[in-house]
Amino acid sequence: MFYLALSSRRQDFSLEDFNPESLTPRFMQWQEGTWLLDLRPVWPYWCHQAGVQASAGNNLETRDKLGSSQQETLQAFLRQVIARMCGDDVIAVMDASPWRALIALEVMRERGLSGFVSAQHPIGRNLVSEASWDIWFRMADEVAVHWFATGRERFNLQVFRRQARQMAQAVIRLGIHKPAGLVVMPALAIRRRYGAALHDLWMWTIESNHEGFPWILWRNEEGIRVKRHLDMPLLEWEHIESVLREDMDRLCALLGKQGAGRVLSLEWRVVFLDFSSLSIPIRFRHPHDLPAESPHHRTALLQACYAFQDSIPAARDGAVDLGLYEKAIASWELVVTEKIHVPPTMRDLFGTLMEAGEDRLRQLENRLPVALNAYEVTSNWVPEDGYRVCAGEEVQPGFQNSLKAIGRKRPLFVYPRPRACAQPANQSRAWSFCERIMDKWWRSGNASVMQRDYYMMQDQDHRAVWVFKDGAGKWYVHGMYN
Amino acid sequence: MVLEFPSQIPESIADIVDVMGQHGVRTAASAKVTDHELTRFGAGHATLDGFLEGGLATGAVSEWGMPAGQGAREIALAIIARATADRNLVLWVNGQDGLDVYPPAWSARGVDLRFIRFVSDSKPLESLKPVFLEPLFRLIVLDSPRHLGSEEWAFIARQVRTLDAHIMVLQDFFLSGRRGNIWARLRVNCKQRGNGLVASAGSGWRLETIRGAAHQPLEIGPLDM
Repeated sequence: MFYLALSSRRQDFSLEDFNPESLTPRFMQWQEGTWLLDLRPVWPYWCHQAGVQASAGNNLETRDKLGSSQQETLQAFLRQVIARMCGDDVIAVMDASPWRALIALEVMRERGLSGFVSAQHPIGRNLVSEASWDIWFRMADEVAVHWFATGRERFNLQVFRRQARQMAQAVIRLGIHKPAGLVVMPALAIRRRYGAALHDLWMWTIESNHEGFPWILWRNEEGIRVKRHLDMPLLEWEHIESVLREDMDRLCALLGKQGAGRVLSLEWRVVFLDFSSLSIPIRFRHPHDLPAESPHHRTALLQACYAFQDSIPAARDGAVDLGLYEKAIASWELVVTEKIHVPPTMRDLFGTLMEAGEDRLRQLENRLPVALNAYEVTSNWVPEDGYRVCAGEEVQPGFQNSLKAIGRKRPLFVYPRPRACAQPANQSRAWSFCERIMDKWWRSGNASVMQRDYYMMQDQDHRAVWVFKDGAGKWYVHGMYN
Repeated sequence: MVLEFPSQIPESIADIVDVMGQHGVRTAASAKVTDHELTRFGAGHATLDGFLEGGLATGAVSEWGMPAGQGAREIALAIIARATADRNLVLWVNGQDGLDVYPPAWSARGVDLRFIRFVSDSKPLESLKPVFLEPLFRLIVLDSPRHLGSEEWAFIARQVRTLDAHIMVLQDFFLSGRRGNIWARLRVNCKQRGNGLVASAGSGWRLETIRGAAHQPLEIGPLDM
């Protein structure tokens, strides 16, 4: 549920009414008065804030949600934030796919509905399944315009519109009134008949996948930035660090007081003595309160150091002949590229949370060069799809016992991709059949290899490994038992 | 194959420190840990917890000989499952080459995924240093780290006392008593009996103490876990 499509029944709805940057730095203006927000980079942060608010009982609606899933708590929190920002006329839909969020938003608009709807909720699911072909093709045309604007490869708007008309005529002839009536149609069949662009749109409709979605991220041209011309060129991090710390402080002065704005990424544009330049991204895993760490800026400087160590040696590699001094840093510019900014009118809702409820785990994650991963189990039988990075969603209660029964027979460690291996020579003693699964036939299209028979066996080093034989009789090692 | 990294400090020195403790000679480390009540991470299994003298104490490091693929990590998992059930935040640092954790199997074995974080790194003390400086994780498992030098052992032993946490170091080889490690209060080898594929009479685990805890080996059957 990472995407939020948002509009209003008011005609003059604009950035003055609702600033998406209050919620996420990644958003786009889909149409006049319609915004699409990508909440992925700030999802754990908002989950935490919603959880803190719910447990503190700051607000009746979220307090009632205690004991409900993290996802529901967050939705209650967002509903409240959006209602406060945009008023009662707002139309907002949250979904795991931006395409489906836009479709549901259009259905709401057409029916004159308003409010905040989640696609997880039965009302949200109904909105998508009730969408008419009219809406589907109208939204498809909007996507096509964005594809045209972003320069999608081998895409021709005229050809797309002709193919869309052909598809529209075909569904009328078939007597299928809604896209929901055609979900049995594989995306590959659409590609054969109507081309790659409509294939992608159909794929987004029948699956949660949204690869190739035309994001045109909103950029604030008046970004917060500080510039530095060094008195003498610098080579080593030890010398750079103290000067950069001063510049972080200068950025803080521009960002405003503690808690008002949180930074997700900075760009450190470095100019060398030979006038070549390098852009070094400094990213935080969670929105980072830069002013709160003034003047030491430990977190920001750690991330800057990791980024420096990753980028600078490569930039200096080509400079060996000219001498390393040519690649000493002469000046730089530090720019805030992604941040969330809480407007003054919302501070009473966010303010105390932002100042008091700092989450030490997120702070620690911001200081590390690698992510600390939290996972959750999904209700999916294919091993590769059996889990995902934590998004606060919960498995439906009916599935939990069967998932546990399956999980007990599976190993603690797996290879990211199954490794082909020879057919095991000795099948007599050290064998144990585990399970038979069917892979998702619509993903690869080759039904002959869809079946997998999993076994636990000992390899030549006496390690218990998890192997499978596919439908074509090929063998793969997929994991290792602890 | 059974391998053992050469460690710099002979076991005998560690024994001297232990003997000093038994005769009432308090080292700085022992003073610190006895001054407050210790948390112990048990497995919720009477026999195993008895073997571990109540569980793995905070403020200490334990070293486990557990070659990969031989079933011994089930023992570590039982301890982690209990720790997460008690809402302790656990960090598992996976240093096994090319292998990722498979969370559904962990969840099925009782680990509460909300309270565990995973990271893949074979040199955790270089890249995860902030983790060892923040009092956040109560139990940290370093699974198959590349060779830890004596300075690194000293660092983690010092930090677990400061942070009041426990660090389990799971080695991908069996430990031996010929060369010791004074920084680990507990050193245990875990072996799986039988082929480990099918639960049968005679299969299970055998725990042998190299240092600390009970001196008799412990045999646990598969159905006991």
